[in-house]
Amino acid sequence: MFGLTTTDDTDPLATRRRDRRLFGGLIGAAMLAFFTLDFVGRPIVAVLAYWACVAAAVVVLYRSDAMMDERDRALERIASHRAVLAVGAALIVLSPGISALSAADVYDATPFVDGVLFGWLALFVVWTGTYGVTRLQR
Amino acid sequence: MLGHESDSHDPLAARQRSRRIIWGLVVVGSLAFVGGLELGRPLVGVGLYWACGVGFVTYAAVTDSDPYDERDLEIQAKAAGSTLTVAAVVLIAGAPGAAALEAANVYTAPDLFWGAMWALAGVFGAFALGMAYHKRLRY
Repeated sequence: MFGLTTTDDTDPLATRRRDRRLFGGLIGAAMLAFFTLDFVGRPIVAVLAYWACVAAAVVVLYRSDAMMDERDRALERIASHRAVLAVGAALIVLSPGISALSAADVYDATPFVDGVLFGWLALFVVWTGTYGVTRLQR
Repeated sequence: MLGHESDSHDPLAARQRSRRIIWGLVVVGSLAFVGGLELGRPLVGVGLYWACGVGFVTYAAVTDSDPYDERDLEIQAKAAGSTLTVAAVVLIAGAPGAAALEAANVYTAPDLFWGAMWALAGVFGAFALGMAYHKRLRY
């Protein structure tokens, strides 16, 4: 009525702020629901509530055209690239080192450590696949 | 002589050469590692492998011709973004799901699974650091 609502509706920065708050709020609610319900002894309900909140947050993320601009996307890509490179470096250094120590009977990796290496390897395999697909698309 | 001169001025040839050196070091390092394991000298094998790794990093740092161009780097970064999306889905669905099943005494995930989940959590730690660093550096 005083122009306040109208301004909010059309101002991209205000929409962006609102969508970001909604997204952050849903992620916070997901965490809170998970830990609270888990604490009171309802683990399955806790995880369902968590997934529901995360699904809602993903819907907000994909439906909002104001939440992430080009700059955010570029930043995200660069940071993802750095993270994948860091994983690659860690894998290249650690993986043969651990196998060599195990072959020399110096140290046997626990299943947990094997799991860490497996997780990074899987990430790298996915990256190789997406790299191939992205390359073919261009 | 002539060929060498034209090579050093041709950026495409220089790029190809630097790629060959880098991938050559990878192959030599891997062969040294496998050879060390086969010959019963695993620590020597891994030492040689790491030496090749140090050579790789040193060469990449000092060479003038980057092995990958802007387009390649953009594709790599885009693929990394998609990869982290996949990792986020796996982590968000997997970790609380397995924790809930464990708490409800339905299924206990092996240590390998939890190792992989922590590995993905570590990736997002690296991602957050990268975000913070580039945000400060660039904008």
